[in-house]
Amino acid sequence: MMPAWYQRMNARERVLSWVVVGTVFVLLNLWIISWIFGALGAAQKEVATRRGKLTEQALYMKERDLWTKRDEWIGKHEPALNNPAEASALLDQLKEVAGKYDIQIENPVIGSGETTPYHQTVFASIETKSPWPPLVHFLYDLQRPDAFIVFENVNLAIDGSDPTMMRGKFKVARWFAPAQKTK
Amino acid sequence: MAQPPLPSVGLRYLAGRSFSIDPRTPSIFILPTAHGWNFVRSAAPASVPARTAGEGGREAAAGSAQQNGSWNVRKLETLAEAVPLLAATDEFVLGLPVSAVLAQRFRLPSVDPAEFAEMIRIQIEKLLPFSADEVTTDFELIEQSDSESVVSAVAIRNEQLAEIASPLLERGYIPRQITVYAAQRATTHAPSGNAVLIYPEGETLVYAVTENGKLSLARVFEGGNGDQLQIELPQLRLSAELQGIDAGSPNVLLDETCYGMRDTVQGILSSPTEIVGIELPPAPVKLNLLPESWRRRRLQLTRQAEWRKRLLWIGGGYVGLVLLLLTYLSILRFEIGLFDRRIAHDAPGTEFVRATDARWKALAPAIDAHYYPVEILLHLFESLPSADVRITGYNQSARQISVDGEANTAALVYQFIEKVKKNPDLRAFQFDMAAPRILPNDHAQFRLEGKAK
Repeated sequence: MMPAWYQRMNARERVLSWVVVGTVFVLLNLWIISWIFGALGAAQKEVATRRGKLTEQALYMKERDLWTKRDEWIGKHEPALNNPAEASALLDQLKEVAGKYDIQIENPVIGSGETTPYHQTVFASIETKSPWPPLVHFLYDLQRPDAFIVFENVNLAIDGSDPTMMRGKFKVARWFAPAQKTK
Repeated sequence: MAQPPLPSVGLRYLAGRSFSIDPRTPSIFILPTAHGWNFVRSAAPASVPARTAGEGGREAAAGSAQQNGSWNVRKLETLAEAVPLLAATDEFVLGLPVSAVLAQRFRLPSVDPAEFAEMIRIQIEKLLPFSADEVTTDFELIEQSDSESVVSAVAIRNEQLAEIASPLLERGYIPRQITVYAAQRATTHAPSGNAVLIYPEGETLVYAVTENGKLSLARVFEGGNGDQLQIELPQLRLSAELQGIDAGSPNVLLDETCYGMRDTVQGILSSPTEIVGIELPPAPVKLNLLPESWRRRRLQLTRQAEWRKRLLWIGGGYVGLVLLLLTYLSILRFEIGLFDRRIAHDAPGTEFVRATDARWKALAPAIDAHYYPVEILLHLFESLPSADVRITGYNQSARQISVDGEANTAALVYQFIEKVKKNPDLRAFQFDMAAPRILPNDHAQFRLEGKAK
């Protein structure tokens, strides 16, 4: 039943041929098994990723009403940058609130800030000197969700020459809707 | 005649003269008959009692299988016809015709079975013009006294055995046991006492004298008609008596195919004659004429077959496992496809939510009070464990804060950071703090940093 080419081999050649065939067989199968387990691992990861994404999607779908309301709220309250003097108006607003609480403003600077897909910015930088309680009121009065005012930089420290006074450096920005509204 | 039941295990006889128990009872017997050979195969587990077929079981037509109880009987003209009926793993017994063997009764001056083999070999060498290497012999103990033993010895020339079994050997089928059919019949029909068995094998008629189910003397008649019996049977009876066999009133067993000779035989032997049929299956006998070299080859072939079977199972299991893994992979791929379709289906609905969520997070420093300095300062002050911890500096950018302070002890600093981390209103930030610096007055100076999550 053995093929003629096999019968022509001597014992040593047969052993060697079996060693070669066995090695190739083992390597081939190792490669197959390795490939299968690799593919299984990758597939399991993909399944887990997609399952997570579906869960996230389900959560989003469930909260769709909330996000619709939030979108509407932003659309309604986010100010539009129509006036080039908005930075100056912001500084005026700061001065007004500071004046209300007898807070001394020093070194005011105004300018335009960064523009992102979500907002355009104008800012006003000021330095203040005041006791702590009026400063708290100042901070409280300035920021409201519908005012779109952001403290981009705050630095508060006790005045070295007068421990009852606080020194503040603020970069206050007002965020406006971007020129091309992101949906 | 009552048949002895088969034992639940078979006996494996090794060429000469020792035996071991084989847990498998043979399920196939190939036996010589008048027409050629009978192929007797168990149709059920082989632990059924030995028995003789009734009248209905004797009519197996040539080339056709007959179901008789749990044994099939197939008539074969030549032994070559048995080849397609066998499988590599079949355990089968080959019964030899009497014409192929030399059966001889010996009276040995020993009761030690260990000495029998050598004694018989010497006796057989005297009888046959062949060397011991060319002959396979075996024996069965007929009776034993205090000083001597009577044995039935059977021998066959290896060359003749190879010639008879050549159709099987050429295909690698080696019997588990090679015995003499006459011995099988004797053990089946006359396990005790003396008997004369007359039955046809090929074109000859076998006349076998048995003692306690062992073959003592056998002769073959060519043709075997009534007239010849009249001449031969008395002579053979005389030969038996000369060998010391009590042939006075034997139990005469006549094969059913020789029914026509019944009256003649009864007349010659002056004994009642019993008709016997084919054995289904024959009772097991100890006699085994399997040459040692065949036994080794058979063992080798059996091992090869077992290894082939094991490798087949292992290979099958491996392929099954690989297929299982591939099926699992296909299921995962299908699941991924299913998820992709659902994600794609729901994507338009969630796209708006995602965009709004991103926008909301981007605008959080303006619209979420958790990012307002006044709120953060309030919650930081709420987290102070005591008046011994003081905030001395505060810095904030849109998404990051840092708090400088001093406490009377380092422990107070750690209490402060723990409270800050646990404050639910500061959860928008992730706080971290380097080890506080211990001042000369043992106060601890610290810097707490928080990043928007």
